[in-house]
Amino acid sequence: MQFTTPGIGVGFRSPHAKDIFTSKPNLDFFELLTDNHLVEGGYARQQAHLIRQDYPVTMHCVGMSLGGTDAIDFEYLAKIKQLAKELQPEIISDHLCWTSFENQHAHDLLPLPYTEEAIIHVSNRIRQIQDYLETTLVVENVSSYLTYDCSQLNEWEFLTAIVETSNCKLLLDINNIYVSQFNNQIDAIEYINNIPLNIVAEIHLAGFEDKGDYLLDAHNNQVSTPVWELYQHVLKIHKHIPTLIEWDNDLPTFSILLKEAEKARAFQLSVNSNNINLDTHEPLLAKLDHATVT
Amino acid sequence: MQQLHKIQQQFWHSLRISEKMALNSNFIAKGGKLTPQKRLNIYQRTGRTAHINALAQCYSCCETILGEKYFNQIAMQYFYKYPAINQNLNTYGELFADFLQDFINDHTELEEYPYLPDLARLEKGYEQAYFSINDEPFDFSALSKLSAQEQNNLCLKLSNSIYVLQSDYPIYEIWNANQSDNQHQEIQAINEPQHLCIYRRDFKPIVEIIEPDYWNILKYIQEHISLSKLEEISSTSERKLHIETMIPELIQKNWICGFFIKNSL
Repeated sequence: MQFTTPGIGVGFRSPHAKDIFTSKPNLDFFELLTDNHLVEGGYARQQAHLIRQDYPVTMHCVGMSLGGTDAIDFEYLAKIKQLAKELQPEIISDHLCWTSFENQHAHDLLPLPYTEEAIIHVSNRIRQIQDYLETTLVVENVSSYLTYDCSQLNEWEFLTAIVETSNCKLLLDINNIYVSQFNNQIDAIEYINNIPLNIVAEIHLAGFEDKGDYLLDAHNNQVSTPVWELYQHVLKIHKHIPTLIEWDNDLPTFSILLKEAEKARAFQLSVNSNNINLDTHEPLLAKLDHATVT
Repeated sequence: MQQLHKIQQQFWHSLRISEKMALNSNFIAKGGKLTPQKRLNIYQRTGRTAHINALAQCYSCCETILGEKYFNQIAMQYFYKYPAINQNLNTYGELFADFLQDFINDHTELEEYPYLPDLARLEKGYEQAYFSINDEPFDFSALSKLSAQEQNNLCLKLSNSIYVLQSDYPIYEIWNANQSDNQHQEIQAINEPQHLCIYRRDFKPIVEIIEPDYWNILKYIQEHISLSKLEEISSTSERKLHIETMIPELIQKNWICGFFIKNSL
């Protein structure tokens, strides 16, 4: 599977379904949180098919536990494969983290140590999963609140090594980079500059929650100004990458979410038409903050 | 993957204990504004919150009755006792009603809420109905082709969404009164047990009070009692079950959606 529709998308969330199905907004794709639609019946599955009738979709998973040390859960993958067969998504993605241990599930994205051992282990699992799903997997960098004593590499070196070793692609979450920058004192610009051009398949943007001494990757807010700035920096390097706005908690009205998507589109168009000086982006940001959705 | 496994083991252990307990954080890098212990505490909170939110979403009436703070305390104890064993958070909390029963038995301040476990069962049944697998239509043509022997061993199949419940408390009224869009209403105690059936129609779960006879027949079908045995029970029991009229009615309501031959199981 390949992304055939670069552009702007948003995460599909059930409370927005009525708005989406009636207004058919001008978006290029929707992302389905795969795990919400894996149930074999009922409205959740039906919604996935309904949205697919009108838009390309991506399938974003949270349960593969790519970095886990339990055996790969092929029963779970079979459900993903079946849904993918039904929906024909542009891509299937999951997170570069571990989510389960001894068959118990954290329901959280837990960070990996950046070691040679982890690269070999995770790459091997991604290859097996790709073979089973018969597609290239897209893996997302996660936000984190800690790093490990034993880490030997930078996060971007770790990501790049895994992508290159397993032949997968990268879902670059810019909010996650910003959150990790704050929490773990990494350099977001250096991070972005060191991601090879050809490995990024999609970009995620989201909002965080400021907890004072750390940032929580809560997906419950508008995209923050520093993240928009990083996005513009990414667009200088990766011009034609599909971008998705994620908003999972404290859901706003769909029109507010759409406004965020329009903001991302404006940045993308501006960069692609070269009519903006990216080093002096403040006026555009200010203008977009007051923009209304039509 | 020795080192990776060891790190995950240490990390996992810290997730399964309360923030108040001492943690082994010597595998976490030092530096920055937060201590390694505080960094692990963030993961303790985020993981626990995800589980508690899932319980609150499923058991929203129980939460309304107990209040958010008290419910969260119970949910937190449940979280520490029962880790999630599935990727799907919607299946988390299957044992919550039984847990609540034990909790009530141990906490005198909850003795006025003996109905909560049954209310929790109703709420879980409602959620399960929402997510249940779609039914195939009843295959009358296959039914007509069964041999006499096969008919003798025929068992009926309930819709995947069906959940039947019996309670000594007026839980339908309690559940109804605690829906977010309902006004406060007085609820009377009941003298006879209440029988309920939860099912799904057009993607929407429905809770319905049913007669005890219907509850009995649904329970028999759920226990894979064959149709011939059902006829026998019906004719010999004190209270005759009119299965010849009840079964077609249940098929019409899509509560019975198929059949199987017992030997072929």
